[in-house]
Amino acid sequence: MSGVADVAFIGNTLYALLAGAGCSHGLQGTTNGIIRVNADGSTTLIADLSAFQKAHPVANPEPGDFEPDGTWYSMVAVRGKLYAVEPNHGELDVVAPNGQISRIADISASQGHIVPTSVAYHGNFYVGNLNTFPITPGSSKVLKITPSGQIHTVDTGFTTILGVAFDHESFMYVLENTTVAGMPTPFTGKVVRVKDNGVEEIATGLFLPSAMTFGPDGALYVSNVGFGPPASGGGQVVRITVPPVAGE
Amino acid sequence: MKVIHRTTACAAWVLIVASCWPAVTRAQGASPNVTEFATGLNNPRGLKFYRMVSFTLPRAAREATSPPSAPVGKSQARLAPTPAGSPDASRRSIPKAIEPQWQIIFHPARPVRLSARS
Repeated sequence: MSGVADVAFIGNTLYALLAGAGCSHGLQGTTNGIIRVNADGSTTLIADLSAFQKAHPVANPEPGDFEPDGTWYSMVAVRGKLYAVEPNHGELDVVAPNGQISRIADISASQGHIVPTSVAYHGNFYVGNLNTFPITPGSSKVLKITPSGQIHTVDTGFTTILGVAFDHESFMYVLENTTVAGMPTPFTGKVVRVKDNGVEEIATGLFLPSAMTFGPDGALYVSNVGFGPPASGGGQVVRITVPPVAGE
Repeated sequence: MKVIHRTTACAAWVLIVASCWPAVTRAQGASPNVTEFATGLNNPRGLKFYRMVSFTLPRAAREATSPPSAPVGKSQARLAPTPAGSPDASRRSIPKAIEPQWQIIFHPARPVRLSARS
């Protein structure tokens, strides 16, 4: 397999989202898609996302940055199905365990090339976007996408979003990879909590973080040093103690 | 023992815990509430929690996973069950009769075989 971008469970079965495969990534004879990890450790490709994207183009792909096989970023499991976001074309798709693929939303159609990356489910799908480089601080946002595909902007003013998560009190947390202008910059990553009266910094100084999830202990777990010069063996998962909400 | 899963770790990782013990190493350059949980990864990306029945690693993997100086230091911690907090946790899918005990196994760098005690 090539370039696992995210994982999800349906029941006791593990699924992985492949993002680095395909001819356009220089890997002829491979394909981006979703694989199922079988009980014996073998894997089975259940959905060919490369083929789906080629057969179902989005409305507004970015010609100068087009990647035919896609560069899938994140995936969640909701009620027995997998929902995956593809940043390069700009779409949210659903994949059933039997391999059936369909589109929930063509994000590019209404938003253009905003590079949607992370998805969280909280009654609806909440999708954050990276946006294009060079980085303009405050230019990223979180979209709410209903299961029927309607898109609404729920919050703006973020920078390079690569993670969205909700706590047990329904507060939304956003992972920002870099918070300064220019190009991705180590030690400027942040996690912020969205409150009615603004955002609150939860963690700062992260090194090019790439994904985030809540643990059952109420802490946030972040993939840190997700890329960059020390990423080969230098990557880590960090645990972030989340302070109680105050000032609401 | 019945083999449940073998996962080959790539760029995305599976965190298998019921809870976790406090890590002690503060992440370099980060705010004080950020501590290292696992190190030595290559380009880590998406991560999820998953609960399952008690399981073990084969001896070789256990030894490789739990050196005294391991920064994580909790790859074999045994934990009491706690209420699920992860949106994707699938506690309800696990029969009660086989969820009496939990262990953390986090082994990102090598193929892992997870076995369940019947």
